[in-house]
Amino acid sequence: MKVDSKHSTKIISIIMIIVTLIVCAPFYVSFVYSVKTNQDITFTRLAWPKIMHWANYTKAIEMSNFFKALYNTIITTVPTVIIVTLFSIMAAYVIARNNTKGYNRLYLFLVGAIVIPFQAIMLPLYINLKNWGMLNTVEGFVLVKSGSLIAITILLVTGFVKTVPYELEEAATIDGATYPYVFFNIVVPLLKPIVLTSLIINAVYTWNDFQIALVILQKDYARTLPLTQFFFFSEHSIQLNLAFAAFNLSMIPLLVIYLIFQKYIVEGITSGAVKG
Amino acid sequence: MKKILVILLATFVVASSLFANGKPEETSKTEDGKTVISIMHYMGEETKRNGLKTLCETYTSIHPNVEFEIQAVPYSQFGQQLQTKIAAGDVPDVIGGRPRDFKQFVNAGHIEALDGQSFIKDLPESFKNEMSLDGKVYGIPLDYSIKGVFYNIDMFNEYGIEVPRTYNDFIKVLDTFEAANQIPFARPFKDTNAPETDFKGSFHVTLAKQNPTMWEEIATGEKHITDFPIFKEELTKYVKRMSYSSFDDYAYDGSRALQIFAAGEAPMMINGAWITGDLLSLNPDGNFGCFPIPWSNNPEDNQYEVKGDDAMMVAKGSENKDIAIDFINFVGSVEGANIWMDKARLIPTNVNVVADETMPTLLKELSSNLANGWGCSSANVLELTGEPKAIYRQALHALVGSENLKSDLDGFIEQLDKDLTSALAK
Amino acid sequence: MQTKIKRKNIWDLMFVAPACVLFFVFIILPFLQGIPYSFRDWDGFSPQINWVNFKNYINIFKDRMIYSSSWHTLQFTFVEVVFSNVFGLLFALGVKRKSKTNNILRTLLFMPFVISMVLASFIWSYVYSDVIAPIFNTRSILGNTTWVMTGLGFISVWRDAGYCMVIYIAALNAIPSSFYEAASIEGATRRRQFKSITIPMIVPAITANVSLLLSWGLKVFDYPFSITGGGPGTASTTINLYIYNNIFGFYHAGYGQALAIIFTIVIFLITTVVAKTLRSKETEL
Repeated sequence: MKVDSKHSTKIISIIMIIVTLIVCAPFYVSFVYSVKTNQDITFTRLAWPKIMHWANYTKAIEMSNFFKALYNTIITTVPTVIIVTLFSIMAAYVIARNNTKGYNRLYLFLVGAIVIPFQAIMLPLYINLKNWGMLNTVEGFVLVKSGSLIAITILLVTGFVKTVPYELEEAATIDGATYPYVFFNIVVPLLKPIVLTSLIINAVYTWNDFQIALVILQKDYARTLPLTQFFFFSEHSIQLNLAFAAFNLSMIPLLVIYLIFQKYIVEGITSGAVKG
Repeated sequence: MKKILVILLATFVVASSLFANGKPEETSKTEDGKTVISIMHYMGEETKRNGLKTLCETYTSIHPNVEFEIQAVPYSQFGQQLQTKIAAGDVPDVIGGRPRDFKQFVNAGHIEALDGQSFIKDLPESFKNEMSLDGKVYGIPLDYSIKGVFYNIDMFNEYGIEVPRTYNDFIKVLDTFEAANQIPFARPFKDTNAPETDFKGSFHVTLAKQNPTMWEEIATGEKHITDFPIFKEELTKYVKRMSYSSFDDYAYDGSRALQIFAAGEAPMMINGAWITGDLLSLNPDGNFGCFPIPWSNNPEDNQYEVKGDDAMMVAKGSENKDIAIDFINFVGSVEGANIWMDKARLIPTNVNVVADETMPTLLKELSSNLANGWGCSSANVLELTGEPKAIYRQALHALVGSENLKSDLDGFIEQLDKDLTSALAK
Repeated sequence: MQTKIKRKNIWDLMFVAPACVLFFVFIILPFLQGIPYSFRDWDGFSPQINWVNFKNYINIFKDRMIYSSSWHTLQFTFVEVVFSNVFGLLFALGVKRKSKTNNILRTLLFMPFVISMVLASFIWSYVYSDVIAPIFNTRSILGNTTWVMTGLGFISVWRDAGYCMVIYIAALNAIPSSFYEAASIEGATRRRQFKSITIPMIVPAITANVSLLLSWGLKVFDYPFSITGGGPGTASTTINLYIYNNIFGFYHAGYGQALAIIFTIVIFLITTVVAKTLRSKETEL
């Protein structure tokens, strides 16, 4: 019995390794194309490159104005993630702790409004931002992106807050602690896993945002990485190797962050989603 | 963990701000007394972009208080972005594009009329006509768009084929390639508008000669495509040339198809003169030529489709209209045209500029063919715009890949008519 | 006591306010502002606008494109929802045990989710044409009018299966092992155990995944927008892409806005019905 289960575990492991390799195959394509010359791509396609043309990367950095786009992406992603997470846990805390008609309705309203497609709001939104002087600005993008992520994050966090015990807060309140003190010093530490998840998941969403950036950040100097990728590819698809080098460059920062924090993603997503 | 995150982010921010070249410009029009002229265009080729950059830099060197802010937008996005900008009152001073392609914006009064400007006197008559709507000139084309069949001279020699000058000869050429198991065309049909561009190369020459108002009459709802038997006639020939074996056309975009053609994997590609720069950079030793698409059995009828290309317009709402117009005049002047020819490597429209010696042979040949009357201006053919145009393009895009549609052209045209009618009624 | 409760209520309001204000100003307000446009024949840029009452809404039902793009959207959603969940669950079953190898495998399987949809689309257009098509000696699936939506659907499956996996792993590991032990003693087969223990225990996770992917699937835009442009012909034009085209490019902003509003209502209904049905399954078990 024991031998058999060990055996089957091994077989499963082997199968899963193969599956994982298949899933990761597109990354191979992306890498190989990025270090070949264009002629090599035409003639040898997917074969492992004989000579690595790392110069493609320096060229892609230069041509796509990579660091500018990276800078734009970071200065938009960081505040968005902080705003969304802070506002969401505050609101989710209130919603989870008050089982009243009003807050339940608010919750349902937020859940319902998640379905609004960006297409339905983009034109009026664009005109508003123009009137408020927020087009092509970091503030404009941050606020719109935060608005679009807040409902879904509240949803994620509310489920988690409900699983956090109530007693500690009560005790602190009876001891005379103020409301913000209770929240920030007692509740927030208990929410650590979901806070981290929210930070990371929202960072992924914001970093990769395309639709909102396409409408709001039109000027060259304001473009974020996904926009740069899109425009760079449309304009330079003739230089496939450079296009792929640019793709890989824009993936790397996020992949690094992901690989460092991956264990929190797993913890947080699950606790929020399943219990909610 | 927190520490790592903070350190990581800080490093990213610092590193990227150090390396980021270009300051975050102000959106305001003027800063320290300088005027900033914004230009939005959809030129894709590196050579053209360099040409535009040089034009702007030269203008700044003459007028030090004028600076430029150039925004390149892919063609597929251009109309959308322009529309949002107009809706929000955020229009660029100089807009790339042909007035007739953006008829809606011209008619709504967003584009400045340029009659009486100095560049006009140097413009050939057909371009003046092409750049105008209701008798007013709204734009300036920088160069010629010449459409025809680009071909690999070496491959034609190898198969013992001569350049076809009639439709029947063209079909014979295609049969020869087919018999030799050689795919005749490289086609960029991943792009939705590519089959229409291909079809237009011959059909709009036909229309220019016989029925220039066809699309206008359809756009007003007066007539339907079925009222123009010429459409089905030409479409039948088009479908015939589509019927020869092909690559995975729907998977190949413009650059991929061009690579195939440049590498000598296909002997022909129907396209415009703008590919010359890229074609020669992909294969500097290649031996290429270009002949007009033979749609008729009368050799005289077979001409290149000629239009003005890389046109520019001035926004009526621009705060710096006078400077923008002055810039347009500079671009159209002999000096500007020379810069354009030198950098963008295209045939300039200014009649006082002669093609220089360094021009690629292919372009020189095209240029002399034009001088010999091989070109036909399709300026008088006003095309569809907006949704009807999209419907027409999508229909042709679907047609080239579908045997069912190809075998029932009457049904195809009928459905197209229905769809156009319902779009026009919206 | 009274004042204490009052003070708490005020704090409560102050805590929900920032999120609500942000959400209202940048999502709800523009949505409401869009409603009047849907009753006009606005082209999307001109100052002159005529009221046309319900003409836009009536035209929606006469528009052939609505039916085809709805069909394309549903095809995509079906592939996205079903296969992301099936693969996600299979992956989860494969790597749920705690081990070093499995940790690495999980990390790698989730990795595609970190890539943007635009990037995933670009890479996959080459995977389809340069890798998969030569293997099967066919043409790229993205150039096939019948299968293009399936092709796009699998790009999203590639990205999202890892996300589903993570949720299923947690759900699977939350099942007490005593359940399986008891079942083994009673002689239940593995298959039997999977059917009567595993599946019922992970229904909440299924609900969460299906609802989320359903709303992503119905709103699909980035994939066809960035690689097929809605083609060949109109074979991959989805509802969202069609709305976008009407507002920008077709000069039918009023019509597009009307369509967007109807579409919002439809997504709302579909997701609510599906979520409710799944939830009722949860309580049954």
